[in-house]
Amino acid sequence: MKKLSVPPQLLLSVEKPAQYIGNEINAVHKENGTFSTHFALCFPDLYEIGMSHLGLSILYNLMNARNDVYCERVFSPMQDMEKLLEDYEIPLFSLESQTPVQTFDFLGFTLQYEMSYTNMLNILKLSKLALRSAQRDVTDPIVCAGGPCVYNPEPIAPFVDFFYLGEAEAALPQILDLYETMKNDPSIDPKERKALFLERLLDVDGVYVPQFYDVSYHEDGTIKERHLLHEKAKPTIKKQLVVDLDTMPYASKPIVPYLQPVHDRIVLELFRGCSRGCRFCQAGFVYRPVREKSLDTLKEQASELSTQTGHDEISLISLSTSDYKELSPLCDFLIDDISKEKKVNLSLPSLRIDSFSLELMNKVQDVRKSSLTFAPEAGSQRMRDVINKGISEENILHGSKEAFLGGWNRVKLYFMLGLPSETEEDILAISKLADDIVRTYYSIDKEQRPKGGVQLIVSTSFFIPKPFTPFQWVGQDTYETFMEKQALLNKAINKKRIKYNSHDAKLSMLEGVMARGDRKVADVIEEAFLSGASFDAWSEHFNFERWQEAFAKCGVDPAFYANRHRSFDEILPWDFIDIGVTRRFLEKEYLRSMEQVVTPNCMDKCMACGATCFNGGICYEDKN
Amino acid sequence: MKIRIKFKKNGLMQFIGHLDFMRAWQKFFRQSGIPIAYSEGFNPHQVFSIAAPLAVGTTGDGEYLDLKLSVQDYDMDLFKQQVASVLPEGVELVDAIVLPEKAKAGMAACYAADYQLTLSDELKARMSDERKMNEFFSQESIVVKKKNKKGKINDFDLSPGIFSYQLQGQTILCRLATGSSLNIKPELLMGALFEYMGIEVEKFTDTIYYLIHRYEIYQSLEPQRTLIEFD
Repeated sequence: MKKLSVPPQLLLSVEKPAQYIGNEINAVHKENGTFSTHFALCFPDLYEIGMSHLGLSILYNLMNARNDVYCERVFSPMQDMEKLLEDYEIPLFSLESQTPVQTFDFLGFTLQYEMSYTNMLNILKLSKLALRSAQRDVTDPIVCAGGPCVYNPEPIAPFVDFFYLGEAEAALPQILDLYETMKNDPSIDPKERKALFLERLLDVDGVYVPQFYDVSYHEDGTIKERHLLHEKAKPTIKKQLVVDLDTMPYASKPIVPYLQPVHDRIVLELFRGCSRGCRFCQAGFVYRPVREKSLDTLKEQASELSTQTGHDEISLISLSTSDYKELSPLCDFLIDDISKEKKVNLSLPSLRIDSFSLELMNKVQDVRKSSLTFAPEAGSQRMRDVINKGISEENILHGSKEAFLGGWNRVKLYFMLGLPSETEEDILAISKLADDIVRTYYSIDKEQRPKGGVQLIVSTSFFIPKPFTPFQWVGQDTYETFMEKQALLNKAINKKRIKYNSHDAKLSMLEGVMARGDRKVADVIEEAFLSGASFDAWSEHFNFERWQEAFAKCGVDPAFYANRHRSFDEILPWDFIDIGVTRRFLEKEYLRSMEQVVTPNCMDKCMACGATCFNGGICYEDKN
Repeated sequence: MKIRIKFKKNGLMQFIGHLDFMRAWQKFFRQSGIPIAYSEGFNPHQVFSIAAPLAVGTTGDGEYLDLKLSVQDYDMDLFKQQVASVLPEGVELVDAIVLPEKAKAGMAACYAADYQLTLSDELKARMSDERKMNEFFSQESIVVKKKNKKGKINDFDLSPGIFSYQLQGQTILCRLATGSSLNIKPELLMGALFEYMGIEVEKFTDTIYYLIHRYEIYQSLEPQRTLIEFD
């Protein structure tokens, strides 16, 4: 048995010890001395969450495919384990070789949601590393971060040595090559290596090294100017992506955890990007353009994954699965060759409800008819036009009818409250739409509709304006407004047939600050963490008062970031990042939204968003 | 055809709980390519069961698993080779036999098991009074509080389920009732022993702990037969 960082007898005193030992099927083990770069890859949340994340698996396999690099995993320990580590003064360690994080060359975070920032700081603390880059030792690991959150890296800029913008497959190999060369260069003093490496990173596209930039502010707190502190520091950092997904390496041997993760199944990635252009959706803009894997590639990958993992379920992942061009033949293959042949169940993501998808669902889930999910996002057509959600009331009612005729009688509906320009009428339209769906059910002949009545579940979340969307300038509703709107809807919903899931808006408000914060917000995150904040994404751990005190202590007004409407003239903290889609396009989209003008999706018409600069994907299809 | 596997569960695998371990076997069988049988119905699952679950932290050298193949007369050498090739470090195939027609299912056949309980140095130092330990084992009855399946706490006498014991330096060897009619968990026995000795072990620390290892499971003691021995 390999040596564990935490002695076995102590491991037996904590909950779910299997998450700390790194012996899963397909976990990678490399002997010391066979590699030179040691990379600690961290998803700053619990093991069972992190192990469900495809991105982590992609990074892990991408790095471990190289002989010169050994990538190991690190997660947030559960609270009982955290206490044990503190009591026995055991520094946080990697799972595979049980090595202290402190001794690695890199500590890389994948940041999927803003509310994991305090967990990131906690990982640094448990690893016995200083929180701020400037305070860390020259021999400490190089701390880096990627993932959707870093499209606005500024609120966490002081903690991270460098950020990587875009898809890892594109330029991470180049970064690792650079480090390898420097590590093997005897003329470079290991004590000077980190500083020199960060400087050389200024030549690498997609990399942002915050220490080489400074920001000055106007008196009102808005940004006056960004200053370049190094001659090579680029004024804009361009997102990196992979053009051809068929030739890109993929995780053919993903780790299969013993401890059941949230999603315990094969995940097959169909395409990246989304052509829909919903105006609230950050993913819809930052991952442009749409790039698909070919049917042949997916068939091959599905077969390989089912043999390599032994999983009994396969699911499809992408931003809008129904848009995959060859979804029908792909599903036929998955049903006939994978599901029936290998007894691997196909689990479908939420699809656009049309006759094709209902037929497909019928084929897949023979008898168990679980619920169907619609995400109209807004109740009124006016509001749906504002957000460019290309779905009409007729689509929704027709889809529901088809679903009822197909035997489903549980329908889940997702909406957002607080969308730009929302009125009382728009909110009440949510309850009216839900009523109309119930009515649709009862309009069907008794013999033809499923027995047992209809069950409708309406859930709302609060709108959070995100960077790189047409709504990036919009002021978010205040906490009070959110709660009033929710109460209004709650009163309007007919509870006899409809269940309403509501939430508290405190977390959404805080997320609003993090999402569009600047460097000044870093002080607040640090202060909240030092006063005990962590696991903020978990409602049982989230403590809003702690955050309020942190804002007050740092003299930072949350409303400045969350609720303030920005003008087009203002320099936004993330303007220096180039995602391909231009600011000009986002401005136009914002203006169109205010006039309720819908924008066609990329499949129908090119609206010249700027993503053509990547020379590939949907922008160049059928145009040769 | 039905097959009984004898296997070991050691090393890091001791930290994998029973339900997770069951799910892992499903994956091993899938990867191995053996023609395992699936249950009928809309939600088919592999037909196999483990004779006696091991608690997290307990290792085992004589563990048993029954499974059904969808074919008859499958080559047993091939079977063993396929299964052994996918097992991870810490799980080891000891043997596999075709189960006789009339054999009881593993779960129902369990009667007794041999355990080795190893005390840490400090725990042993606190329990140096062997005379008192012998006294504990020779009591008429050893009554403990035990929660039943409904969560009600009842008195439970361990003594009829302790078939034999032996003190050997830092280890206690004991043969305990195992199975559906009477089952003695070693942790329960140790709890009663600690109480009798007047020491408190609420949670393991780095120096106060004991290891539990299960050697073997028997279907009968007279004659002594393990779960893969038949007459």
